[in-house]
Amino acid sequence: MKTILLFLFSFQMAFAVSLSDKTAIYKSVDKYVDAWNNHSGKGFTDTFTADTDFINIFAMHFHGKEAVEERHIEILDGFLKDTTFIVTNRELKEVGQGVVIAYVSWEVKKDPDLQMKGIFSHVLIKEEGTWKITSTQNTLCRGAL
Amino acid sequence: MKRYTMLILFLIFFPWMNGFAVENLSIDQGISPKDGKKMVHVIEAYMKSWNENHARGFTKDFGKKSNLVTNRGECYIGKKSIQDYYNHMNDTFLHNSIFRVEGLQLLLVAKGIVMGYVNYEVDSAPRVFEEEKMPGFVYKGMLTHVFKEKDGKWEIISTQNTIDEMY
Repeated sequence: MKTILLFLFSFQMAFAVSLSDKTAIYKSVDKYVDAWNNHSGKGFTDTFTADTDFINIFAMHFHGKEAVEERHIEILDGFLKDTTFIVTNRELKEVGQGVVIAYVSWEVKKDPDLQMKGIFSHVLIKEEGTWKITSTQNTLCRGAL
Repeated sequence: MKRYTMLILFLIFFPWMNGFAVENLSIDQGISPKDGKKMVHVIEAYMKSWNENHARGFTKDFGKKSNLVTNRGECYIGKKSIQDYYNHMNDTFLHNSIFRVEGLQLLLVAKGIVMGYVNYEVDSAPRVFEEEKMPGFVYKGMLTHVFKEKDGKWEIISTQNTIDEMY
């Protein structure tokens, strides 16, 4: 019964957003994944708003798309150099007209040394017909206590 | 006159005396003072529930279908399951700890939708946990809330927690 309810709830969450919006939002996610994997972080915030906020896995708060991009270029030239970013799950929740929360589960790998798992929650807004990320928080997955 | 001065000072400092005041508050200009005050009250209320009632009532102002991503990356859906999680944490690992809000930033996202960035500290005295003596600890972190206005009330519809590992 619990599984059925969970399935129905997930179904409802996934389809509260129109298919075209869903596709556009996933493209925003694909864009920063591509920047991570192929461009050393350059262009990471191309689909973020100018005044975006970003909380990283250390609870550091970055404000503005330039600051967020700079930080990613820095870490991808440092301890995360040559890592691969993989999206393992995406769920959307519509919270209002033109506002959606995207929960994006991820893995970062660098064989055989490194494997990290985490989850982003992004708040996206539709700005002049384009979905942009206005807020992000990142947390590492370490399982239940 | 002296009596009124004392009363005014009492009213000003009363929240701080109880330890439930939000510190370093910043509210976006697009948010009305009335709405800002309502959201600050939501934060103060859950802080009070943590500190006075072992988190009972923590989710009073959470939406029924609220989401939570914990500091360990676990996902909870629904007000009840989030409340159960906080009950468990405050009955065990975080029992008798003190929750302080060291900073709150409220930013308008769209009409009726606001981001709340809460810098917090959790302070626990040495205690016995699962029959073992545990040292005290202090950690800091960030709770990010999405607030949504519903019938004149501001509800928390999504929350993510991240611990400051550097602290």
